[in-house]
Amino acid sequence: MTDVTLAVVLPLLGAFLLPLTAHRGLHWLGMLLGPALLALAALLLFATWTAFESPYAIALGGFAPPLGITFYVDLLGLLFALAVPLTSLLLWPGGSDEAAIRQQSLTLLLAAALTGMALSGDLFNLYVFYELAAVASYGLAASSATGPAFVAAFRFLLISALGSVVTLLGIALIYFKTGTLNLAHLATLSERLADPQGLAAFAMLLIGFGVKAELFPVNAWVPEVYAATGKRVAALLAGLASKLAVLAVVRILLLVFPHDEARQLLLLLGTLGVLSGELAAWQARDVTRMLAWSSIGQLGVVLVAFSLPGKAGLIAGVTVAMHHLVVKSALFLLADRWGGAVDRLKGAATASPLGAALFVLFALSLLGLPPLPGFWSKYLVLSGLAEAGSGMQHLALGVILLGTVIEGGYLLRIITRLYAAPERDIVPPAHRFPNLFASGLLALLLVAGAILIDPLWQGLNTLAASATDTQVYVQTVLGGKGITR
Amino acid sequence: MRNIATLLLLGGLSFLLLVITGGLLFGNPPMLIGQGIQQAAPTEVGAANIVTAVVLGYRGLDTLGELSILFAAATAGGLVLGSTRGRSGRPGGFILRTGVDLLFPLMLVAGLYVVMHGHLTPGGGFQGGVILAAAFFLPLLARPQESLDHTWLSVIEALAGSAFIALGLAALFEGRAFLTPLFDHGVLGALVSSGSLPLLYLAVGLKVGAELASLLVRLSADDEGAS
Amino acid sequence: MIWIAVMLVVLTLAAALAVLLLENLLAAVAAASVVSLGVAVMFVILQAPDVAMTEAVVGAGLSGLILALALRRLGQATLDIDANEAEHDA
Repeated sequence: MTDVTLAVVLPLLGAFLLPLTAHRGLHWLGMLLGPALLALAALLLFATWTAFESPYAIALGGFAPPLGITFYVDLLGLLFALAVPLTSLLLWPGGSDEAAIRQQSLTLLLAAALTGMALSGDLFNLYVFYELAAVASYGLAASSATGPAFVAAFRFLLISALGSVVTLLGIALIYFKTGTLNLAHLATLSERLADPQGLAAFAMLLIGFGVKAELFPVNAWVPEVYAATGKRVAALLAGLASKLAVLAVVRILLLVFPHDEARQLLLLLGTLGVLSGELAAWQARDVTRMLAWSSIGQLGVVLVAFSLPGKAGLIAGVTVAMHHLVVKSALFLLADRWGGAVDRLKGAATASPLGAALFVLFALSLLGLPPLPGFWSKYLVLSGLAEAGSGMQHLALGVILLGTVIEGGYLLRIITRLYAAPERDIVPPAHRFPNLFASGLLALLLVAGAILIDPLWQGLNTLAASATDTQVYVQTVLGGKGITR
Repeated sequence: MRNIATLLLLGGLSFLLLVITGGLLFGNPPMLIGQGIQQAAPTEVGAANIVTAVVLGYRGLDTLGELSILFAAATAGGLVLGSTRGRSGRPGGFILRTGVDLLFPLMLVAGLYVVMHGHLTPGGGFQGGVILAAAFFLPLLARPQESLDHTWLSVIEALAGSAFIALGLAALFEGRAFLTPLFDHGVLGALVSSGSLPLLYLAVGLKVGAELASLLVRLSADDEGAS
Repeated sequence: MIWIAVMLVVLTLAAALAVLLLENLLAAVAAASVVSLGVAVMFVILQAPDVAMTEAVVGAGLSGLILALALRRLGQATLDIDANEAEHDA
């Protein structure tokens, strides 16, 4: 029983059943149910990962593709899918009162939806899971139940709902032009989308999925939501949810729109994201807003990396995305009690020396200091851009370098405050143990990444080789029997 | 000023959409999947209503996703609205009370009919579930002090949702893919036909009904406490 | 048939305009339900009974109910029960 469908279904089942544990002294079951199911899903995906030989497709409901919905299992999808239950487990919201149970239900729904997005091989199914993730995120964004959180969640809802409508229009346009929704089948028909209308459809999908991927024009909700909600939710949305939205965009780009114009569009929006995010982070006076804007800049780098053609682009993109997942989640966890102005952080290092040290480690990796994985991720992007070599790519290269300099400026501003002498003996509160523990684990992961750079590089190479091979995808799903007319 | 800006934005957007869709050839789209399903569905699924064959068969996972989206929205709504406070208020007028008494059984029957015949005639779990929810909410408008039991609603909701997943998992344990329709197709057009699809729709109907009913109850509960 | 469709379009557009222009929010909600009803009938004409049913039940019925209840919660409108209550109190 190692069907990966279970990794999507079990969290859903848990979310449906969890409200029952609010009654009749079942609190202990409620406390256990969510983490147990997520651990089971992670175990299942890990077992699939270790036993993985070659990509395969699952025809859900037993209906052969392209008529039915397919799940496509390859290393790229498994890597992102595996990140979902692990990260949600790390950022699990505890508690057993009614509001906490609702929040846990939403977290399980988010995990199920994101795992589904990693595995789905169907455009509309991708949209359904994306929508589920979005609705669960609105609830999570409002979960701290304060006035600012409600306002931020409402703005998030408006922007995201607009994005969803635009995505739906884009999908309708694609369906109208090709008559299919299966990604593999679309890959065989991609030349039908190589015209201005096809590019418009891609732009529409980009705007819709971009809301969660914090893409340049549709990311105005980011700083407000992250500042107003609990930092565990912020870490979940910035670290995890954004990566799966990026993966959806990448799958669509690789299979359905292998045209240069689509890549150029992604490159342009990513570059603008880097520029706007880093500049706004420089301006920000509040720690969480600064991290939020910086996350927009980082995701811009991720999108720029994925816009590079071929294996090099995919390797660079996966590296930057995974690095950002680890680092940004940890930074938000550490910033949990450091809300408010940067200047109020003076002396925080004396209150929690370990927390401050971890913050410095993650900040340095984010900047790209050589032995840390952040350096390799940035190096891959920059060298890829330099090799690809047209004017647009060189511009992006310059912008990313400029962004790194700005990033260094504001991160150093925080770090110097952390180690400054406290003013008037007002010391910021120390970290809560669970947050410190979780970010400690992430730090271990980061250091392990720095040491195991060689095997990682090998693994990424095989992953990227199979993920960029459209022919394998089409053959695996359709077995050479697509419908054409 | 703000209105003008909104109008300009809307005008620009609709112009853009017109330009994009203007070049499309309407009337003859390449319906590859649509035609494939129309040919295969009667023998593959055995539902007289092909829309149901698509909704529960070919795209069963999407339906589970939609169900979860509704659940997520209801949960988020509950999180925002907080826990229910007491209900109060005097009974409605004579016309409202009599009308509700008359409508309640009719709506119940109509809702159940739409749910149970989803695989034969237009309609199904979602539509029937909404009718059921409205049927159970109407008496509350007439007699606000008689509250629906919240615990029961949440139990029905949880069990119905789990039943949908359990039907999918049953196929998995038989060695087939998740959500593969179970049982024989039966005679096309008979009430007991098309395998496990009617059971799936019953689960959908109950879940949607219970969920929306509890959402409506929550929305109509008094905000200012006792009045 | 074409005349039924034309009348429906006019009715639906008029109701949609009424949603924007009506001062009374509860009346605007009712007008929004009329829009959905018109669209639902159009779906029937276009031979999509399944979609028509969903549109009628959700668009014309449920969403109107939820909007009205939300208005009451916000104190922007009173439903029948509240009006009755006021009468009793007076």
